[in-house]
Amino acid sequence: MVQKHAAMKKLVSARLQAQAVGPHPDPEMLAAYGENSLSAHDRHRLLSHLAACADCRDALYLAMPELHTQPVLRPSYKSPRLAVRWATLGASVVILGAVLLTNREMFYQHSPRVQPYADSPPQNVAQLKEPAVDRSADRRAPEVQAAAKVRPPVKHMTAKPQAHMQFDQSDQVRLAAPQAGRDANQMVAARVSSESDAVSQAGQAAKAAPQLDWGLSSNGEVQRSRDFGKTWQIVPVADGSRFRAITSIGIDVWVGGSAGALYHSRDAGQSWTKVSPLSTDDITHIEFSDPQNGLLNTATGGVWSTTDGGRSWRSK
Amino acid sequence: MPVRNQRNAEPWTDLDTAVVELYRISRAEEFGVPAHEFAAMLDQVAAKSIPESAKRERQEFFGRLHVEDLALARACAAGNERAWQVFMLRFREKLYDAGRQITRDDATGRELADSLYADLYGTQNREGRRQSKLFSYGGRGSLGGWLRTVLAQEYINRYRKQRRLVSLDRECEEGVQFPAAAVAEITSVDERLEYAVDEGLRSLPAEDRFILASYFLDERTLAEIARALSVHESTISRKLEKLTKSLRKQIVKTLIRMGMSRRQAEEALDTDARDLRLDIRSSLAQDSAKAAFPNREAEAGKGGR
Repeated sequence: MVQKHAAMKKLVSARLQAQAVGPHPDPEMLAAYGENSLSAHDRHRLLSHLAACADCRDALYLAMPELHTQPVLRPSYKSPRLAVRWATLGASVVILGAVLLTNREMFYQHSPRVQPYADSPPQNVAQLKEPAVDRSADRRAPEVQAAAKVRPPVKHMTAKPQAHMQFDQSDQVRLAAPQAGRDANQMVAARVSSESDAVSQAGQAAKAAPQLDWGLSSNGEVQRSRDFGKTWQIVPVADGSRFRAITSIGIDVWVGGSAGALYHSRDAGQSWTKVSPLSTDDITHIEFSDPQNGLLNTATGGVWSTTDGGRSWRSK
Repeated sequence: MPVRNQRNAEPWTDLDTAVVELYRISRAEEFGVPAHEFAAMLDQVAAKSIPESAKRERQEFFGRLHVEDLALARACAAGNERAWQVFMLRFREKLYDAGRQITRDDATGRELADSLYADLYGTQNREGRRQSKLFSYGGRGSLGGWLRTVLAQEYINRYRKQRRLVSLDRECEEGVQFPAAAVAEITSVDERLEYAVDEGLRSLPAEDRFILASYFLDERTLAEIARALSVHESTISRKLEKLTKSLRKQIVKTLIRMGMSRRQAEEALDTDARDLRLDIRSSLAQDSAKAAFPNREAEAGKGGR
């Protein structure tokens, strides 16, 4: 990578150094930045200065608590990291393809498809008096059957395009002019009936293809992006906690922050478990080399490590 | 407990309970800091950090402060013995550890930490008052993080002073701790190219410029940059790739806009990229024209960091 960027390095280095620097920030601002506790405005100001000031960058990097490398409990051979990534991606595509093929019939029936990973159910679900959306997979089958009752297969009958078919108890079919409002409602109904599939598929997809980016907002809220950082959504974790460190490995996500608050999600952020406080110091960094082995740093330089996926932690 | 905004002299009626709660959390009472002094302390910190702020903004700001650390620091600065006991218990070993980590040497690290203790205690008398460095701590980050940063800055200042006294040969013999890139004179560079690169850099967000400076100038690792920005290493890797591509494109575009053909622009870019020489050392003397932190201008003028 160094060689690859050599030309650009030569080109921009001199101009980067020629930037105007301005007065240096307080050490307090640098410290607050390192702990992710600056407002977005202050963060931007500080980064502008850091981009131009080599001394302050040095101070920032030197002041970061030392990372303790975790002994890797793996066989001695080195696995090719890139190959594993591609293999994971390939497997994800295959699994997703299989899921889509399995549900193909239903997919065509419910053409107005709800987007995957719906964070909140549609507001007008209750108005339609449909059964409440349950995110557990065992409710899926009855709902699919209900959806099938609403829309029988089209091949047994013919109708004018735009005509609306209504079915009653006597198996009579009535044709009616399409009504925009009702169509819209049916679209929502389709969304409702497919909601549980979407959620369960989302769970499977999260396991199969964890292409989520995680981050923290300037207010210390957990954010998740499904489009490689183009847009971010706030993920509720715990009221009152201000987070300063986040890491993810597969669908396992760890966040830590003020007063030693530490939370763990095993399902890509759908539910969170609070880990008993290890310390009352702010957690400023978390890192996991694999789902079992990880460590975290506190603002006061404390280091805690786990070798059992966070069930127990030891101070170093 | 009526708490008043010293600048506007308006009662913060709805802030009273919030300040009282913060006072309780801060345990300032343990260190003999009365409530009204604590409120004044908060007011002072807010006036420095968010001078033109609304009441609601101040409340949110106070909520984010490390009030326990702030009370401890101010009590230490005021010379409270109990506060110093707590401070030593909490930070003594951690400061030595930080000193060792920063200097990569046990003795030097200890010396650095000890010198900071003197500044923290306040040995300089000005108008009959002891000036403690802890007075400048405002609670926006943790006290531990602040101490580490002050220690790092002190180390950089010392190192810079020492470098002026040590010959280059000796420095090479001893091993350079902050290795600079190739040292040579800056050769003639097409002004149009300089302008195009400057324009490209200016158009980048501050975070992207920080990444470029850290990677290209400081030669930091992807992991270090990722930690500084609280993102994953792979994110930095992707971002660098994207940044260099888009920057190059933009430079070419600007050169074309300035009258070059695409081929000429590409050639100029490649030629100058080969010929451009770096002189990082001479560039360490930095221009302080732009006021990014206006409240620090006065200090910068005095030569303090």
